[in-house]
Formats: sequence, C-alpha cells, structure tokens
Amino acid sequence: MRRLSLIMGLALVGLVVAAAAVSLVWTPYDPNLVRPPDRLLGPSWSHWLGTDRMGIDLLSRLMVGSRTTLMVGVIAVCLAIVVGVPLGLVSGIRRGWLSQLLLRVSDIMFALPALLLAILLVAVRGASVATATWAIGIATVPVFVRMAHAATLSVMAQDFIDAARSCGTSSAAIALRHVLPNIAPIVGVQASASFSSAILAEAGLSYLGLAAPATTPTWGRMMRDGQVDLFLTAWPALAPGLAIAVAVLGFNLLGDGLRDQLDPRLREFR
Amino acid sequence: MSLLEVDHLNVWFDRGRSQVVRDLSFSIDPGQRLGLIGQSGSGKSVTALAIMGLLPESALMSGTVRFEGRRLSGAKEAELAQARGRDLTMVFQEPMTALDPTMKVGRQVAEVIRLHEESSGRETRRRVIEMLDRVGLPNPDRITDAFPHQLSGGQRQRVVLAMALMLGPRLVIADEPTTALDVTVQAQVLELLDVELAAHRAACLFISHDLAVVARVCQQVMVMLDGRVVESGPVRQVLSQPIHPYTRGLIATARLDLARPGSRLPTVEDFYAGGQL
Amino acid sequence: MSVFVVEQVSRRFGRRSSRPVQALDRVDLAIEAGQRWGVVGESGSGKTTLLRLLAGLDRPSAGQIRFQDRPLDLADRSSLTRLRASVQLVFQDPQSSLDPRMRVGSIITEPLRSGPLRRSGQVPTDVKARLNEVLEAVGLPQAAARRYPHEFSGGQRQRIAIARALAPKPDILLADEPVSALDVSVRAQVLNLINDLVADMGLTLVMVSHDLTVVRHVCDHVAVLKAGRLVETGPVDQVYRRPASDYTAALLAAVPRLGDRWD
Repeated sequence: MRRLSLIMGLALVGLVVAAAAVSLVWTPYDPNLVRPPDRLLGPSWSHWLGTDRMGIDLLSRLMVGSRTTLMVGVIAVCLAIVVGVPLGLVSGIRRGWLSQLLLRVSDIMFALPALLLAILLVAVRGASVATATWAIGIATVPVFVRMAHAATLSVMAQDFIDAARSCGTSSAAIALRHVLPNIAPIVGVQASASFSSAILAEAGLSYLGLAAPATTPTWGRMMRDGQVDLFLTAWPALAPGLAIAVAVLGFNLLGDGLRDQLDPRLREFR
Repeated sequence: MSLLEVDHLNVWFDRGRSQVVRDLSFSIDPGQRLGLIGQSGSGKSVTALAIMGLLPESALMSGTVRFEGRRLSGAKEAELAQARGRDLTMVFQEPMTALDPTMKVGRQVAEVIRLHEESSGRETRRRVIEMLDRVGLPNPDRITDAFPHQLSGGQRQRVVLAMALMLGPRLVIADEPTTALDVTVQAQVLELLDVELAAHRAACLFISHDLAVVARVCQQVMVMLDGRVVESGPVRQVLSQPIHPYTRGLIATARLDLARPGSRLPTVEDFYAGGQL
Repeated sequence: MSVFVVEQVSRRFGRRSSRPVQALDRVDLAIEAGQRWGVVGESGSGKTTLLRLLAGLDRPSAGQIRFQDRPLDLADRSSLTRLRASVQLVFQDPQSSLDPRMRVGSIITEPLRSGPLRRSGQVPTDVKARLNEVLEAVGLPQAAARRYPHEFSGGQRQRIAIARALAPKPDILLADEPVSALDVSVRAQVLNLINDLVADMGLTLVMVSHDLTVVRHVCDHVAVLKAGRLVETGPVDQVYRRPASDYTAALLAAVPRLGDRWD
C-alpha cells in the first residue's frame, strides 16, 4: 500500500515533469498559433484534447503551461524551505524570547490567507507570475517554521541530544549533525504537500487574473479563459482542471510515499 | 472444556518471509493462569495479538483460536469486538499509549461499559468510580475527571487494569503489564492483579520476559524461543527441574540476588548457545 | 580526592506561578575517585535529576556542586570542558539515546570529534583505532561500525551506548538505569560488561536504578532518594543487609525474586 502511493505519486509527477521537458523541444502545435477556423473543436486524432476559442491546440498549451506550474512550485517551496526551516530549527533549539516572538509572528502570518497577501503584493508590484510566486512562497514560510519547530522539539527531547551535549558538542553541530538529518524526512513530506498547495494557489491566482497575463499559458489562466465557453464545450476548462488535479494528487501521493520510505525504522516490522 | 484453545498457530510477517510464531498449541482452563516467557522478539506479544485478532494486516496467520468453544480466528470483526473488552480483555505494557490522552479517565473506563451493556449515565459513573476504587486509586471520584497525563505511571496502569476487569472478563491477556513500572509500583500492581483475578475467577495469559514476575502470578508457564515453545509445565516444576538449556539459562540469569556482588553473572549463552542476543 | 561534592543541592521545576515540583531537596553527597555509587529510589524520587546535574546537563536551583574540588560552573567554558572531558553518560533507553540516522561508527566516535574535547587534548586523537578498541571492549564486531542502530537488539544497542561513553577515555561514568529497559536475560550480559569495564579502566561510577539488587551487584556505595530527599547513604552491603529506613526496606522487598514461591 505504501509502496503503491509512492509509485503512483512518482508516475503522476513524472508525467507532469515529462510534459514540461518535452514542451521545451516539441509540442504537437505551436502553443500560440491562433487558427480561428479550428476554434472550440472537441478531442480528436489531430487535437487530442481539442482546441480553445482561439483555435489553439489545448494539449500544446497545457504542456507549455506545466513549465510555469512547476517553476512556481519549485521556487515558492524552495523559498519557504530556505527561510522557514532554519528559523524553525533555531527556535526549537534556543528557546528564548526571540524564538517566542518568531513563532508568534509566524502564527499571525499563518492565519493570513495567501490570497490576501497576493492581492497586497499585486497592488504594489502588478500582476505577474513572479509576483504570484513570491506571494505563495512567503505565505508558505510559516508552514515550514512551525513544522520544523515542532519536529526539532521532538528530536531535542531524545536522549541522544543529551549524549551529544554531554560530550561538548556545540549547538550548531547538534543542529546540523543530529536535528537536521532527523527532521529532513518530515521537511521532504511537507515540501511535497506544499508543492501541491502551491500549484493550487497559483492556479487560483491565475484564475482570478492576479498572476499570469493572457499571453502566458498557465493552467489557472486556461481555466479562466475556458469558462467563457462552458456552455458550448467543457473541454477548454476541463483539460487544465484535470491537469491541476493530476499534479496535486501526484505530489500528495509522493509525499505520503516518501514519508514511509525515508524513515529507516518504518522499513521493517519490529 | 478449555476456556481458550490455541491450535497449531503460525504467524508470518513481511509477506510470509519471516515466521514469528511456529506451530504453537496450548489451552487455558477457566481460572487458570498461564505465564508466557521469552525475550523480546521471541513472538510472545505477537501470540497475544493473534489471539485478540489484532494482528496488523500485513501479517499472515494459520491455525485456530477458540474461546469458550467459539472460533475467534477468522471470525468477523463484529463478533470479535463483542468478545473483546467483555469476556476477553487485554492489558498492555505501556499505560501511557494504551490510554487516549485527550479523553478523561472516567470516560475511557465508561466506554467499556457503554460498548457492551445498556447502562444509564448515573449508573455508569457509579460503577466506574467503584471500579477505580477497587483497583486502589485514591480519590476515585477525582480521578474519573483527570486526564491520563495527570496520573503517574502506576496510576495509569491501574486505570488500564480497571478497564480490563470492568465487565468481569473470563480471560485477561496481560502483555508485560509491569515492565514500564519501577519495582515498588510493580509489586503493588502484581498484587492487585493477583487479587482481582482471583475475585473474578478470571483466567490469565501473562506475558513477560521476567521469570520472577511470572512466578509471582502464574501456576503454569511456557517458555518461548524464536517463535516456538521449548518447555512448559507447572511453574514450580519448570523452575526446579528445567529441561531445556535455554530455560536453565533464563533461571540462572534471573537469580541476581543469589550472585556474589561484583562476580560474573551467568548468562543465557553459558547454557544455550543457539539463541542470538 | 573527591570527584563530586554535592552541597545542599535543590532543584525545582516549573514556574513560580504554577505549583513547582521539588525534584531535589537539599541533597548532600560526596563521591570519591574510584568509588562505585548507586542512586536508588522510586520514579519521581529525583535520582535522574541528580545524575543530570552531575553530568552538567542541568543546573541546581540552589546549592553547589564541586567537581574535582572546584565549583562546577556551567557558564564557565573551562570548567565545563574539564567536566565534559572526564565524565560520560549511559542512558536508560538505548532506543532514544542513539541517533537513528547515524551509523554506529559515527555515533561512537562523536565524543572524539567534538571541538572542546579535542582541544582539551585529553581524548584519543586516532579516531579509527579508538573505535576498534572500544568496539572490542564491549564485545561488538568491527563490522558493526558501518550499520545503523535499528539493526541491533536492545542489549547490543546498550553496548553501543557504552562504547560511545568509553571512547573519550573518561574517568567517571554516569549510568541512568542502564539495564531497566532490557530483558532479564540480557541484563546479566550488560551488568557483567559494566563491571568488567569499570574494574579494568578504574572508573568512578554513578549508577541510577530503581532496583537495589542491581545496585548491590555493581556498586560499593548507595544513596537512597525519596521524593527528592536523601533518606539513607552508606556501603551497599550494609544498606542491603540492614536498611536503616522503612523506605529502603520496602524498595528491597519489592524486587521480585524467583525464590518467592517455591523455596
């Protein structure tokens, strides 16, 4: 069962990554080529997923869109990890007033919806994929702060930390040598889960018109454009919607599978 | 008729690759107390789980388990749940994890009644407090409203015992019930178990790695090694005339009080080289 | 020479507002070099707290601990380094005392790679050679160094923990219930090992246990704690034979003995 979710997750994520990679060198059609005679075609042998209101091949556009989706996810999650994990780690090891303050601030930020943050940022910087990425990344930081903090606390309660302290190991060495490797699997699982939320968030922001302009193909933007013709044909909205579902499901399954694989103690029944 | 009959029980883990219990057969008569002795990994806890029908899904099992003549092995979950908690109960090693940390102690004990009997709220509370008093908890009406973390390890184990004894079980399976406790609390809990089992005329399968503890509670004992029973019989006989070298080793290592201070203690390997420790 | 002198040491836990827990209450104890002390008591008696204070993992709320005739000051780097270089710990639960993500070799040599200890010049510098020495001393094969803790049984893990404690050649070994998480059948092996090592290396030992028979087998002196207070100290033989307090007598009587029913 555990193995299964890892394999399914890898397969779905692999599909998205492969689509993005292939789109760099080849797409069935030019993803920006407008061909009014072919508008709103259903799926067929020549257009596997049909075409949109401009006659653009949906599959080609989805493939190109997957690049933006992955890029937003990677950058936002990396930003959140790079900022959030060290903060959570330090606050879990040194429990002073500064750590308390840090945790309170991240609690407040946690309560703030990413959407609100995005609207604020868009107001300042204008709508773009980059703005959306920043907003999603910043909104995800407190998730990692809290997760890393809690995980660090539970590692710090173990006897091997006292053993390390009692032979004079410094706090920095304890953090790097003992705590980080032990919380790494949890960070990995969280990263995978956050990746799927980032994809959803980007789609949502694009759908609201707060991220990608019409010229940039992203899945959320495609849904927004597709809904106009919902009464004529569902395909232009359904295809990107399915793509989002596949990617989100893929990263969630991958996260579950990873959690079980990364823990050496879970690998065998004791 | 025997109360519990275990016939040719085999349990495998790891998709059948490792066998943890090998061809185990035994029976327990009503009111009888049987000790199951072995080191960690010998398969003794797995045996308890197999009887209770609580093996993880990944485990494979063959053989039959009969309780009061009814087949438990292969029985439907609903049937098992009927017997579990009423006629057949279990006491676990770790009293902290055996109790739900978010639920008040009284409610957890009451749950046992509610699952198996019709009983009014007031009546239930009265019975819970009476039971907590019986297992020697001070101020039982205060303890019902406490959370598990507010109690000491010994008190928690008494609560677990209260749950196991609440409905007058016919058989109590105790898996290392005192291993997590220190010696004074262990002595009190063993005394309590002894008295309560006798009062309910309940039978007991008592699992432990400590021969001295088993000898304190049981009349019969089975010695388990690598999933097999290598010796069984009345406690007195097994202790005074052990046959299997492994049993002899176990007895020798358990007699710390007889050793000259600082001398080399006998180990199991001195008697039996086959067991890897 | 006194290794540890504990003078009127108290330790309270919890803030002043909530009910504080008095884990240790004005304890006095003097531990001489080469002695083997057992600290016994029920859970909650403060015995582990005392051990943590001696290990420099915690500081007293009141009173003073002198280490090798100088006050132990955790804020003072040189005082702390002196302590760390000569005192090592073995914990109760070999499950949680070994980092599951480190190989056994790195676990054992960690004290040798710690900055302050290396700079103190008191620990062996040939890490590889020392690793093999201590592995042999605790009866583990050299191949064990490349494996992970979860591949070992409880008794073997406790051997690993002991090897780690011995690696920096300490003078003093502190052990917190080193056998109470182990099967009775494995207990004898670990007690034999501790006895041999303490004798061979001339260590000073402070061992916490709830079991007086274990302490009697390994130690020459015993301190009995009850609810944070010292109720009895003395040579272990004397306390074992003629306990001065009822509490000690109860502790002794509680140990289950094989002879109880059939002798």
